[in-house]
Parts: sequence; C-alpha cells; structure tokens
Amino acid sequence: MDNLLGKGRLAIGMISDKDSFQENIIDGKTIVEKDFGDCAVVGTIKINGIESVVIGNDGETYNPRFPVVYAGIIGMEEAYKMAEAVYITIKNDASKPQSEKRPIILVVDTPGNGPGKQEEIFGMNKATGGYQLALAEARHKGHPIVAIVIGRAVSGAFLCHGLQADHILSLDANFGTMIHVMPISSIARITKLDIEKLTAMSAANPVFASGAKFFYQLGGIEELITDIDSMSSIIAKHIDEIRKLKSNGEVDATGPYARGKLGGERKGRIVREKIIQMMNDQFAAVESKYC
Amino acid sequence: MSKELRTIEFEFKSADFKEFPKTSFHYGVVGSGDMELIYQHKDLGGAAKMTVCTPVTGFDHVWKMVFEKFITTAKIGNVLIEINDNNATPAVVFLRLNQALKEALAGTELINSNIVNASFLELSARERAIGLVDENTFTELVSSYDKMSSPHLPLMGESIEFDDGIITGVGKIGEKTVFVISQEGKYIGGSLGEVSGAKFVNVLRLARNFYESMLAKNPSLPESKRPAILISFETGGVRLHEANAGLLAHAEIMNELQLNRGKVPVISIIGSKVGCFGGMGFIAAATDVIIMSEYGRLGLTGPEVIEQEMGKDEFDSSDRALVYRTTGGKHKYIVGDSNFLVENTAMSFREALKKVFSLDINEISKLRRVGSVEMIEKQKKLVKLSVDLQPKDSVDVWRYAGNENPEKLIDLNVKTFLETAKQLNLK
Repeated sequence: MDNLLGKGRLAIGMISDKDSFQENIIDGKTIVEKDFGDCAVVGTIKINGIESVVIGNDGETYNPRFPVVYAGIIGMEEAYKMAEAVYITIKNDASKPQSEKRPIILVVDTPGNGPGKQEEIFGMNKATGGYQLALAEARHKGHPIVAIVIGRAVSGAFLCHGLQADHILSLDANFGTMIHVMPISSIARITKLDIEKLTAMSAANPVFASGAKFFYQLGGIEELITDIDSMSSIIAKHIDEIRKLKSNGEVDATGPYARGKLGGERKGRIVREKIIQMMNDQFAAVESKYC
Repeated sequence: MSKELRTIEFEFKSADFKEFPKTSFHYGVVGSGDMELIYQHKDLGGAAKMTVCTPVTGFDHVWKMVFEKFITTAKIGNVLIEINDNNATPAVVFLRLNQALKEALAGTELINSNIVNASFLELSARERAIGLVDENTFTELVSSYDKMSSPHLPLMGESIEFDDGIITGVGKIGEKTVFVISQEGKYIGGSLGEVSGAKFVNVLRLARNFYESMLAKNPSLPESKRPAILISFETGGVRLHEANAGLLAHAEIMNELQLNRGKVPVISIIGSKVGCFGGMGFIAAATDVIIMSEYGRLGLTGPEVIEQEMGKDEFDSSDRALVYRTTGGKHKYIVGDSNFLVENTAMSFREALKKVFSLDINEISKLRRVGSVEMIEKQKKLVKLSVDLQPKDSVDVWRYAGNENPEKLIDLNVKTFLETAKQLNLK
C-alpha cells in the first residue's frame, strides 16, 4: 500500500478491532440523521479492545447539497455532525470517572473547509469554530483525544479536525501525508517571494515549510509513524500516556499549549516562551493598578 | 526576484543642534510604502544616528541624503532613530521623520478623547486599543519599545514591525479591568505569526489567571469588577511566511477560549478594513459576544477564493457591494452572527460594551453562537435553511427573515436599519 489519501474509511477499518466499527452509532443509539454531512464519518470503534468514538473524513464521496464539499472537505453539515458526536460522548460519559472517559480518535484526511457562497452567508466559521470548542471541552473534561494524520491535513481544516487533540500522530511522508497551510508554490505566489529561495529555505526552516517532519519540529506532532501496521498499537499507547498525563486534572500537560512548549524544546518555535515570560513580568509590575 | 532584509546606519551632526529630550517615542505602522520609527535619547556627542531596517537595496545614498537634510533642518542631536521600512519613498520618509519629531517634542500621546469619535474603520490597532478603554488607563504589554519583532521574516526579506502587528495590553472600563488584543491590518494583513500568536495566546491566559487570583482573594467579587477580554480583529488569519507557527497559535487560542468560558467573557470587536477571516473567523465565532459596525466583515473564506472555487457568475469578488452583503455587519446582524450592530466609532462600540457588561456571565454566555449541543442544534436549522432556500444573495435571507423590501436595508443608516430590520428567527 502506497498511501491512504482519500481513504478515511479504510483507515478507520485498519485501526479498529475486527468488525468493531459501528457507523453513526454511539452507545447503541443512532446519532446522525440520514443524508447529513456525507464527507464526515462518525461512530464507535474498538482499538486494542478500548471502546472509542471515531471521527474521520471520507474523501471518496461528496455532499450533494453543498457543491464545494467533496473529497474530504469539511462543510457546515460535516462540522456540526462531528461536533455533535463529541458533545454526545461528553454527555454520555458525564458521570464516569476521568479514567473511564472514552477516547475520541480523529482520523485526519481533509484538504479544507467549504469555500462557498452559502457557507459564507450562513457562517461556515461558526461550524468549524463550534467543532473545535467541542473537542477542547472534551479534552478538558478528561477524554483522551488522539488525532492521526493519514493523508491531508491542510490549514483551517487541520485546525478544525486535529489540532485540538491531546496528542497528534502522523504517518510519515513515505505515506504521502501532507501537512501544511499552503503548498510552497502558493506561498511563493502570495508572498511574492522567490520560489527557488523558498524551497531552499524550507529544507532548514520548519516555520513555514510543508510536511509532517517540520510540524514535528515545531511541536505540532507528538509522534511520526513509520510502520502503517503499528497505527492501532501506537494510538493505544498514546491513549494510555494521555490518561496518565491528565490523571491529576492537568489541562496544560497535553493539547495545544503543551505542543507550544514542545515547539520550544524542539527549537522550532524560538521566541514564544520569551514573549510569554516578558508579558507576565510586565503585567506583574502593573497588576496592583488593575486590582 | 530575490529579497533581502538588511540594516543600514547613518550618523550626522548638525552644527547647532538641540538636545533630544530624554524620552522614547514611537510613531507609525509598517504598511506597504510606509514605515515606523522610534526616537530615543542617546548620548552620541551631539550627533544623530539613524538605523534603517529595509528590504530595499541600491538606495543607501538616498537614505543618507534624506537623513542629512532632515537633521540639518530639524537641528536635533543626541538622538537615535530606529526605522523599520517597507518601501517608503524619500518623500514619505521625510514626512514621517518630521511628523514624528513634532509629536515627540510636543509630548503628544494618543488619547482616548481624540480617538473615540473618529472613524473606527481608519484607526490603527494602537488607536483602537486606547480608544476602547477609559482615558489614561491603557498599559501596553510587550510593546514596540520591547522590539519583539518576528525572527523569521528577515530571513525572507520581509519587513518587520516592532510590535509584530498586534497590540496587547490592559486597561479599565469603569471599574472593570479589560484585557485588549488589537490587530493591525496594514502590517501584512494583520496576520498571525509566532510572535503575534504568542502575544495573543498569553493575553487570554493572563486574563484568566488574573480572574482566578481576584476570585481567590474575594470569592464574592461583584460581576462589575470581574475582568473581560476585548479582541479588535483586523486579520486574514495565518501569516503565510510563518504558516506552521501561525496555525499552531490559532489552536492554542481556541484552547484558551474554551478555558475562559464561564470565567472571563471574550468580546469580538469587528469594524476594521481587513475584516476577520481565515482561522481568525473561527476564533471570533467561538467568542462570547460579537459587536460589528456595518463596515466590519466576518467569515472564513475571502471573496477571491470563493470566486476561484465557484466561478465569477456565482460570486464576483470585484463586486464590493456583494462582498459586504455576504459578510458585512448588517447581514451578520440579521442572521444573528453579530449580537450588536453599531456606528463606526469607538464610542459606539463602547456603548455596546456597556450593555454587555451590565449582564452577568451566564447571560453573556447566552449570546454565544456555538459552544453547546443546544447551540449546534440551532445552527443546524440555519444549515437546513441554506439547503431549502438556496439563496442567490444574502438579500434572499433578509426577505425570508420577514423584511419586505430587503434591498432598501442596504443603504439605511445604522439607526434606521436597527429600527427597521427584522432578524432571522428560526423556530
């Protein structure tokens, strides 16, 4: 197998225990109405025996009601469908202790958000913003969230579906994974920077270059996966790690803020920590004026 | 063309110089064809020194000429002038040096009373930050004088700005402490990079930590004294030159917004030229309250990209009226994406803020668009309306909302619009 691009359903099958995937079902109940959010896949799976909620993209279909939503794009329906799966999981697990909150697995292969007129008229930004808030809430409430990039993780769609996870994993570049805001050719066009220069710079500079390796250096990815058959065991390992890291209710030990720190440790984000410290010190000096 | 950012230096002594006062003074924005500068007293044996960080090559002699002419006429000494340039012409450079000097010597400060009634659309990020809070209460945190500019842009030959295009600080509105984030659209479109991202994220954390320490000291602290956060958006989202760092910062911001819920209300102020798009459109949507002027625009995808995706017949990005009808303040108010529509002044935004601050945190939470399963159920009705109605234009939605002559709403002033327009109310 060369890659899993566009094959979110296949990837879900690969990471879940045999015949364990129940599409559109959480706790035995169908949670999705018919003909809604076709490019998103939600449901329940087992990973190494651990019951988990899975949310993925389907790159092999299109949404017949929204012409700009196809090939794994997250449209308004898709984002709300994904968000509802998260909220239902939070609700159903509300009375469980933190150690039993179900994991949520994000199988990421999305090239973007719906870029259309209907989307702007009715507010695509709310749909994706709402999904991100749902994931952040689930993470803060103790659900381990693991994202695994199996194909495309592009810009705002990756923000929406992936970057709110506790831990982010990615198949490495040998599997054709693409992680970027824009390909270098588009960055060159928009910034009017020389494409040869950009390409040469990208080899050493993780801050704008495209590819999982650079996101890793910036702290944007916890682990790169080189063996496709090990996906489920690596996900299970991270679920376990996340549970331990969050066991005392710590919300900064995982997720976006922890990845910010990781970016400093990996020397990819070089001034972030300094700015945070400077601002904290400056505020401390004037705080009494504002109490 | 290959670009390079470099620093050039000049020193010149006027025969009969006046000592520059013992202060620092910042002026300007690094817009296209423009520059910022900081005047600072420095003992240079009477000389004036200028350092220019510029992407322009081959015009060093012109810089020297302009500088010497300026010092000869201004007759100042013991001063360091630091400039960040983005292709300013000699005439602009000369003008900015003089304007800034005049204000520096007069001790002119940006003050609220000069800003609050000016056109909000035209205000710089710093003016907006100052204009939104009470007079003489704003403290800028990590300001231009700290010179925390992007470490990445010089490698790409791109101009830097001492504040990286974002103003962060704290002020007061009445007895309430208000943390402020304000984005500068003239500097690389108000985009978010590593530095501006870290500043943005940390204000959200600082506000929450402040709230928690205040509540720890006084658990019955009245709502009126609990802090709030204002974000004056002017941005297209991620800065492409530092795209990965910008994207990761967006994720951090969303995480902080969720952590601030029920504690520190976050209020979006949208009324600046660039609008609020890209990843920042998500951020605004996820805040508690949105206040827009009719010139504010809010969305995800910019008009050019929609045209590229759907064709010019479906969406003509050069049709400014269409662009405003689709993402502008009036439309966003009718569909409920904006809680308030206000006049184009900081004063009007402040009046809406007063209304928000008269509510308790639970009531403020009810103004949200997203953030719970119930809110998502409500939003899904809008998506269904999109499918059923298939509007060609926002005006079709206005008509559906019960506005009989929706086209007439377009040209109404804000006051009459608010008296006339019916908001969409889906059962």
